[in-house]
Amino acid sequence: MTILLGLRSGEGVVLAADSQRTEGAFRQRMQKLFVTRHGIGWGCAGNVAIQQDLAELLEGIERNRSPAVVKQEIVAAMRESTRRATSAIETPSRVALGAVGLFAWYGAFDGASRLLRVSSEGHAEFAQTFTAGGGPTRLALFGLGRFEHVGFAELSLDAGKVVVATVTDDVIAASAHGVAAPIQLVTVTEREQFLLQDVDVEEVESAVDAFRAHQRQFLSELTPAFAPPVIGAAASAAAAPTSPC
Amino acid sequence: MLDLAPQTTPLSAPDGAASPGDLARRDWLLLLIAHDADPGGLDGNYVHTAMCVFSEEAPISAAERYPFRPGLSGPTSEQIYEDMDWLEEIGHVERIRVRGWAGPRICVTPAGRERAAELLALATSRQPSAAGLLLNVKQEMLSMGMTVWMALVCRRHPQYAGRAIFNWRGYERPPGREWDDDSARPAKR
Repeated sequence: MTILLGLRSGEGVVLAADSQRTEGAFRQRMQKLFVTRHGIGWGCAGNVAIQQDLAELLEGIERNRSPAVVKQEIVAAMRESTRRATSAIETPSRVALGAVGLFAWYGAFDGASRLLRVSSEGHAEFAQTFTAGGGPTRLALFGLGRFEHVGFAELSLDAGKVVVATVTDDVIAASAHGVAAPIQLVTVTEREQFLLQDVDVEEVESAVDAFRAHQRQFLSELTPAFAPPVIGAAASAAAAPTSPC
Repeated sequence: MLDLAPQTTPLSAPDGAASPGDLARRDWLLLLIAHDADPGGLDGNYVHTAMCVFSEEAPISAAERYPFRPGLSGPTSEQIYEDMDWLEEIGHVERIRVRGWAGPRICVTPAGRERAAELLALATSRQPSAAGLLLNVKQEMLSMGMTVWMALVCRRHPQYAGRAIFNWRGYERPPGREWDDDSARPAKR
C-alpha cells in the first residue's frame, strides 16, 4: 500500500508519500516519489510494474506546453504502462490493474504550477488545492481538508511542506498497516523541482514536531488546567516515585 | 541557572586556547544526547537548538563549534545531521520512530553512554566552563516546554530565526515567565 498526497501552495506544489513497499509479509523501504529530467514530480500508488514502466515513459514528456497537452500525454503514459505491465497476465485482477498517480509541474506556457491526479483507467483531473491517492486516500483527504482554513494558496512552500508532512504522518499513524515512515517529499516550483534528501526531510519532520508542541502550548494557555507534557529527563524526574513521608 | 537574556558575549571566560586534547564537536554532541538521557529519546529540535546555544556561547575552539543556518523551526546544522549519522554508524546513538512524533527520537545506546561518561570526565577536567554550560543548557531546555525553549533561543540568536515558519521571536510571554527585556521584543507579525 502507498499513500500519496499533493498540495498546491502559493509558491508551488508539494508531493508526499510514505516509504514502505509491501508484498505479503515482505516489507522494504523504497523510493516512491521521483522527478523526471524535464522537471515533472510524480508518484504512483499501486502495481510496482506499472510504476516502473511509467518512469520510463514519463521521461519523454516536456512540461513547458499547454497543460491540456501535458495532461493528455501523462494519461497516455499511464494507460500504456498499465497495458505493458499487465499484458502477460491472462485475466488481470483489479489489484494488478489498479494504480493512481499524482503529477506536479510548473509550466512556462501559462506560468502556473499544476497538480494532476490520474488513474490507470485513464481518469484524470487537475486539483485546484489538494488531492491524494493510494490506500488511505479518504484519511489523507480528510486530513488535508482539516487544514484548508489556513489558506493553502497563500502558504509559503516551507509552510506547505510542514502541512503536508503533518498530514502524511497522521495518515501513517492512523493506518493499521501497509504504510510507514519516513515520509518522502518532492517540491515543484518555477525555479526548482527536486526530491528532498533524508536530511531535508528530517528537518521538515522536526518542524512538524515543533508545530505540534506549539499547539500543545497554545492549548495549555487557553486552559490552565491542561498541562503540556514535559518531555525528557524532567518528565522522568517528575514521574519518579516519591517517599510517602 | 542558565541566563537566557540576549547577549553576544560568552557566558563565561574561556578556559584557554584550544589544545589537541580538547573534545571534538561530535563528542560534545554525544555528551548532550547521553547526559541524563531519557529512555524515550531527545527531539531533534532540542538537539539543534541546544548545540546552537553551546556553539555560540561556550568558551570552545572554532573546530568544536557547529555552523548553523536559519532552518524551518529555528537554528539548523547540516553537520549535526552528519555527525548523528556517524554516531549512529558506530553504535553510540540510534534514531527511533515513536508514535506521535513525526521526526525520529535520538536515543543513546549502552556503548554511547559508556563513551559519554569518559567524555564527561575529560570535559569537566579540561574544559569545565564549557561542560558546565552544556549540562546547564540541557537541564534548562528540558525543564520548559519546547515552544518556550525555541522562543527563547530564537530571541537570543535571532540570526537563525529568519526562516522559521513559527513566529518564535514574537511569541507572547508564557504564563509565569517574564521576558527579560520587553523593549527589545520584536512586534508580532
